[in-house]
Amino acid sequence: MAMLLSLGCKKLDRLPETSFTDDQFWNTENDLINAANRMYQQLIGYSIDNRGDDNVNQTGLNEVSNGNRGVPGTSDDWKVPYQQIYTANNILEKAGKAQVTDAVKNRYFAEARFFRAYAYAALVQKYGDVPLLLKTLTIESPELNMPRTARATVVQSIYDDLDYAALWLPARAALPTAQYGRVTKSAAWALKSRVALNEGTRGKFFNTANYQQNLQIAVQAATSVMGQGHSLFASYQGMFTHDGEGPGNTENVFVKLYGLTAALGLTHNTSRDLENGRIAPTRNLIRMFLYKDGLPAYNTDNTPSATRSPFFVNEKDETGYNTILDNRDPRITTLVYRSGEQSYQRPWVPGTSLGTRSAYAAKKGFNAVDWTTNGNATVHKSLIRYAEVLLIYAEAKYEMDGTITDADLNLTVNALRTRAGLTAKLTNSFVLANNLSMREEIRRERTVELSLEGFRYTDLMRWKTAETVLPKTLLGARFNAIEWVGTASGSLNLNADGVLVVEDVSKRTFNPARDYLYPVPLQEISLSSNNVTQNPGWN
Amino acid sequence: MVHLVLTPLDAQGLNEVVVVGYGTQKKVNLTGSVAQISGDALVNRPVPNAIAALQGISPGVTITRNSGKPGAENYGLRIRGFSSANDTKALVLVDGVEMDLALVNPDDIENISILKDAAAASIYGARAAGGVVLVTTKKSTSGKTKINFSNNYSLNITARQPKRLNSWDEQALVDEARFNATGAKEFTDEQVEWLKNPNFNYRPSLTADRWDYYDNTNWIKEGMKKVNASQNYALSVGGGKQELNYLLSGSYYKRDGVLRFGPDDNSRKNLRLSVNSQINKYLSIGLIAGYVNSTIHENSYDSGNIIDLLYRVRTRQPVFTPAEDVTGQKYNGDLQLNPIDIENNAGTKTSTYESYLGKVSLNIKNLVKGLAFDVSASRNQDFYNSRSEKRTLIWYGKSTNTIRNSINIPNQLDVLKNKGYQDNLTGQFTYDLQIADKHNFKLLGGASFEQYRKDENAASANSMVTNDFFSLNFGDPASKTNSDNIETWAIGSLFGRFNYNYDGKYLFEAVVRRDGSSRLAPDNRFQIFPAFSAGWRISEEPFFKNNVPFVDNLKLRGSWGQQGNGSVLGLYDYINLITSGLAVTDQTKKEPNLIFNGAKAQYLYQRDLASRSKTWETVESSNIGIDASLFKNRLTITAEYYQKYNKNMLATLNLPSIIGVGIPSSNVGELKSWGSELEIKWRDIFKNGDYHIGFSIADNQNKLTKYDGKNSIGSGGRVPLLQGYPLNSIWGYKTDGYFQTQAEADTYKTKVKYPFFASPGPGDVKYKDLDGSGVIDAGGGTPDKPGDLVYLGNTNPRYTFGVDLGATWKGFDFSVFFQGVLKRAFLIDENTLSPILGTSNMPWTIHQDHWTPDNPDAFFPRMYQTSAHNFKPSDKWVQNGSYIRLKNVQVGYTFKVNRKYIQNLKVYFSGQDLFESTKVLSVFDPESGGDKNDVNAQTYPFYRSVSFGLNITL
Repeated sequence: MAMLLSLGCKKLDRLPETSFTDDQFWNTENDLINAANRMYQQLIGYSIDNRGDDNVNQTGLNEVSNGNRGVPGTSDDWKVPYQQIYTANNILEKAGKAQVTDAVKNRYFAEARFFRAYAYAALVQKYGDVPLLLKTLTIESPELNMPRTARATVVQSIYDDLDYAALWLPARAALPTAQYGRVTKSAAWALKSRVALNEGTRGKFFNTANYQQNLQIAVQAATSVMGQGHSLFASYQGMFTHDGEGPGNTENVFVKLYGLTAALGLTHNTSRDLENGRIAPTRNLIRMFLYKDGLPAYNTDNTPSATRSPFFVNEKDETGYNTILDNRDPRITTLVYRSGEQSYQRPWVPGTSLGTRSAYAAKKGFNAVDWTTNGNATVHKSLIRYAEVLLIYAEAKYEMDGTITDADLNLTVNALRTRAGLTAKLTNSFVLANNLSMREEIRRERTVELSLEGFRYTDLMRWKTAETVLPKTLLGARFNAIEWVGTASGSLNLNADGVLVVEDVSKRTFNPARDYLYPVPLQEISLSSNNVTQNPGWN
Repeated sequence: MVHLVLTPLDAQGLNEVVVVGYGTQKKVNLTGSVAQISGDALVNRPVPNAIAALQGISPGVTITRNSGKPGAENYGLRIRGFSSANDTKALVLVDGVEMDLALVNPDDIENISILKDAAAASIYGARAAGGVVLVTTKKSTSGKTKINFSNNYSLNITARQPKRLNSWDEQALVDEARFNATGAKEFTDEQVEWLKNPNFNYRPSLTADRWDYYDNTNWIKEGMKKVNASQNYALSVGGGKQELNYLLSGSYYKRDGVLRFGPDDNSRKNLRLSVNSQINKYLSIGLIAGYVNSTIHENSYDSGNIIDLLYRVRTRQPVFTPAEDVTGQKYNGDLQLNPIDIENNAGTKTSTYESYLGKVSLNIKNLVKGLAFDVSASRNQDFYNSRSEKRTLIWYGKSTNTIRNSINIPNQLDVLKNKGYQDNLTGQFTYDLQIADKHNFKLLGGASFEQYRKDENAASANSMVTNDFFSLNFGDPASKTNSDNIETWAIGSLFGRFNYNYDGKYLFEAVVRRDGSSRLAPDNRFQIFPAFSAGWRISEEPFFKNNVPFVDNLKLRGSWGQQGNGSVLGLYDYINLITSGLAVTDQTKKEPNLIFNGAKAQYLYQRDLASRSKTWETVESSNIGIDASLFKNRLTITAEYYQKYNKNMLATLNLPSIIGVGIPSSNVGELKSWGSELEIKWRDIFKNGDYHIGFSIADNQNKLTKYDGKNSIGSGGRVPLLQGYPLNSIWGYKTDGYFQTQAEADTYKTKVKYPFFASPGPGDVKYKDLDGSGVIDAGGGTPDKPGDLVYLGNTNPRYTFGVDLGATWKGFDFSVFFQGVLKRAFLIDENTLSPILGTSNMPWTIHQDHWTPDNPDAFFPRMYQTSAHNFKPSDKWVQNGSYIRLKNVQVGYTFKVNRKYIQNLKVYFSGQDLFESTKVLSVFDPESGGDKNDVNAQTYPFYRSVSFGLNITL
């Protein structure tokens, strides 16, 4: 009994044997790699983006797109980036104790700072000001009640993180094949140019001072990427299939990798999403494609262009489903299936029965092998590809002072057109000769090249054109009874031109005083003792 | 209370001794609330285990059951309702060793003490908040060798389960549902005629490589046995001298489940040896060795899933393929999965739990008068082994070109093994002292140390080389996974108790326990749990004694104390842990993998922050009680009132998302719980016999007073945690009958937006727009802004009662026991109530009473497929869970035998759950619908039991 009474505290220690403790961790390079891997695991690859006017979902109308959303109680848009930021901050606080060289340490610090910047970029784009947190918190931390930090301060922090990342990350060419997928200098600069373009153009159209600085940064960062030996993949369509995977395709700047087989347990469902109309392109998007002569019919805000290609056919006069797809920028053949073209399972028959509410069948990103089993798609997701960097360069150059040289156009827009097989080139003289707008054509190039890749909505935000674009009617294909086998016109809502109305103008609205920023989730406000404030118009 | 063996009507009842924590006490001197149940009350009952036998046996003790599946019953014992919004388990100690009472041989039980209040339970400190159950097993007695044999064989008869329709009546409902939903029936009149025609059961499909079926299969009958056996045998041998005596007992129990084919049973074997030796006047030693084996055989597809199929697949589908079948398969699974094939061929799962107990104890006394020392040490070592083989089953259409249905693709083997042990070392002393005849002191002090370690490995593989041989060696190498898991804890304790009574009149007791646990941070590891209680035996006062002669005993008592609840503490919550994303086996926490270089990559992260300040929940409880016995102990009455206050309940803080990591629970919640108990017993003797009548009733309520702002009622249904309300509150809409005409529905629609459903019509439920918002919804989803939802009660049973009658006359004995609940509400899963919510889910006979113009007041709304709009949580579907049930009836006869050869010979009949009266829908058991599992179509059927038994003592 004396023994029992003398039991000390030590006797009661029991330590975990099948989990590390944090104290035992953070020693070797392997520890740092495995900790950094969490950031790649948290990285979101494919996600369906129906917020713009470019595509619609089968399940219903998108409330961001049509202006009918309310203020959510909680939202992953706010929450998930902060989970990624926690991971990065935790690495930045603890990796320093590892017994490795500074170069190794700095590499993983650099990865952490890259991902921290990536998460803040997502937050700033949606919310504007957000709490800038550069350390981890405990449940007692006073910072839990911190207010939102000014957008410019957060952006500066993003730049600082990315400068550090670009300094210490390996160059693309130096990255061992086995490490493919990890971030490089190119990824850091490319992200920096993306953020800078966003800030620069947004600043310009919302009348913020010093927007040129950001555009200058965008040009510089894009230029840095362009010095890293990237090139465009030979096939535009192949970029979105298994052909375009791997380090051999240097158009991949930052990718999310998926498992080669379903057993590896990381898959997505993009090919089925395309088949089932969860990413159904609209006529609004298709209108923006050039004709093969390099001339448009519509502007990027969906208004008729001043000069129209002779190939343009009035919509009420379209004789068949494919009329609008004829004589276009070849990238249209990657975007959607033509009537009769071998599609997901069989030749495409126009209709809305499979789920596509626009009656257009999305093709970009379809992989037959991925389609075979529901939920088992594995094609990579190129989150930043070199084509975007070129477009950033072109747009930032132009927006800085309203001019761009033919040489720069050849380096960027025309390089993309050449790859896509569009022979008509964009030059200052072509713009002048055809009474076009250079800004419009650069924006068009971006919209077309990056279509269905999740850029349309954010572009409308920073161009401040959402207020004119988003309230417009969303349109689909033009109905004709011969080709639309099995569809009765009575079951469709058609406009005067016989074109399918996907969502009528009367149901769409955009409030410029409110909708250029997301509403802050209610819980983030109330749980911060109201130190976090709501965005304008959302109260 | 039921089967307490009648004590003669003298004062012996007052000398009754009750087992309390670390000792015993005279019942009259108790100041806490303790119910003692004799082991005799638990035997001779056709129930799976000793816990099941406790239902209703003592007020305030509720038995919960998760499933009727053999071996998966998961009986729980809840003492005086909830003590926490988190898990609280009663601490069960069998001869001082923590154990699962369900695994104890009921025949081994001498008695059970249930420590209900703080005064009684606080000596078990940090683990006592859920109440403590002390089980004392039978010990040998010296004397002639005694052999006991008992057996009972029972027939379990399923009852209160859904009934299937014949195929044409079923089709009529399907067609009605389909017509209402789509405007077209599925079958033509001719096809319906074929269903009715017993000579026309199938034909080749005109359009597909399939057969069209027009059969009539009663799947429940094909797949389930109505009557199933369970059996129980117990044998014990005991004897010896005072210097050395022994009791050896063994038992075997087996219950067969309802599935007609394939494995579905649970068996339990117990072996126990107790040896006691009185070495000399001062020293005695005891030894207990025990073995338990509980084995479950079941279908790897899970019997719940099979039952769901038996209840819901189409009756027009036959069990077997047609005679013309060329696919070579026996069973037909064209329309839907074939549960009969699954029962026979989907593969088996076998799990075995074994435990070995060894305990030695040493008692030293009489060295000093009144002083005794006890030291004991025990180890309970257990092994768990489970193996699940999932065979691939494929059902073809008319030819093998067409695969219609399949399960378990690919086939899979899962293996789990663990080994654990729990050690307990306890030392204590007691000192009894009497001063001046009237001052009685009793002092107890002790210490204990317990430790636990479990070591587990799990492995699985799929795509075996063949579908008929399962081994990890033969799985696809790429599919193999394995993981290990080690769990450890230790707890060290000091405890003491001081009793004082003056002349048997004034009673006082103080208890203290100090616990320290490995689960808590070293700087925060220890806590003290005190309790105080006092009693006044008014009946011993001269003024009372002389004036109220018909009262033999009258005692007032009260207690206050603190107990801890640690069942929700994790093992290492105070340490920041690094998790491997690849090793997460809990599917709810499993995150997507990470791929690099074409292979799964390791990633490590911290899921939750550690909490160094986290500690036990502290439940403060107080109790007042009155004990009385009158008319020379013929009438006994006990009444109690108690309050429990969990003042630092663990709850997850609501913090801004910017924290970015999992938040540990903190001691910030508060739960109040209160209730009362009343027990009245009358017993008397007459010539050649005696009789007794007992009645008890208990009430318990609770309120979650603080839970860090948890105030969401979502869109209704059962809400487990809601600040300001009882646990498991039910929220739903108010309804106002059905729309009887389309015009009525249209008028309603002009005023109220009906969000569940675009086009309500006659026969649909009319929900009331209580808040006048013009839309039926949950408003802000909180109790303050509930929209049209209202509070419809909670699943907490109130006024649980028992009525017990019994008599003996000559060799006959008879007892009957009713048990019930007066107030309770629960919900039945909307998937279950709604017929044809999935087009493959068939309606039952109960759905025949549905709305039609000719049946405007039907129980069910109009048939409508694939929409649950009529089955949203509402006052219409809340079950009135009150019931009274004939829990047990026994008739026995004890033969007059020659005592020289046979000590005792008894035969008996016993019936369990034979009858009940309730308003719960006829196909569900009123005792189910727990606070965790809402009743659904996978629920294992309820059964009634009749059994015959025999007891012989030689």
